[in-house]
Amino acid sequence: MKRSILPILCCPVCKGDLVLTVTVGDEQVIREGKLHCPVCRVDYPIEDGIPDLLPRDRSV
Amino acid sequence: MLQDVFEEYAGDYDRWFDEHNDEYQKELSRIRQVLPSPDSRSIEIGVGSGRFAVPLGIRIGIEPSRALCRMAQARGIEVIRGRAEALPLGDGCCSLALFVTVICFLDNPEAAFREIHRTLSSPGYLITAFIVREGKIHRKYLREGGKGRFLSRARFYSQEEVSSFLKETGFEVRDIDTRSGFCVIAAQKV
Repeated sequence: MKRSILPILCCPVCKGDLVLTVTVGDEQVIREGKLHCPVCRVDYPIEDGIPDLLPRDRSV
Repeated sequence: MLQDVFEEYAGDYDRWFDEHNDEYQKELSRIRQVLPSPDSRSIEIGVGSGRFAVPLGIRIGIEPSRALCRMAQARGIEVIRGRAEALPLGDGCCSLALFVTVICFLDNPEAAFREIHRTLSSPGYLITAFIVREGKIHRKYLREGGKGRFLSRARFYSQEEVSSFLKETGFEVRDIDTRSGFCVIAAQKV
């Protein structure tokens, strides 16, 4: 994923801001990492450049 | 779960567009007629394998199926795994949303329209396209079983029902084009 889309992303549940951690990537592209929601205390993984922002609870 | 069908048979889903190119091109053409010029804040909700977003110039997509996410990514879409009823997008961050043949697969279409309304800036556009209940395409699938693996679990809606969802969730319908069992509605956030 490009870093340029980060400003539009939020937690799918509480709609709050997410905290990014990059494990593989550069100044423009993130390949692996996670987006953390401090309110819901959930980590949303970024794998192969795709952020997985599905709610962990299917009922949401 | 329907999502599992799209994971397992993503290749079959994607091949449909090559095997039914005339039908696909007609749907594309009709969407193009009402689609405002996409910009960097345009997004397709339920982007699938990118078959609509790519030719229509939309660069960002939301998709719940991991397999379809990868196909869309390979076609150059900036893809985010997510659900229409719980969009991982901030308030007012999108200028245009495209929503093609998705509502029939949702448990709660109205929740999805509310979420799209929240994420659109004002006045943002939503282009919704869907197979009309008991229209030509729906009847054909019932008779011949084409796309049956996917559509057998789908729930279809009439033009009036979708228009009602849009009005109830804060949209104003600007244009409706229903032909051959496929409806395209252009709506604007009010």
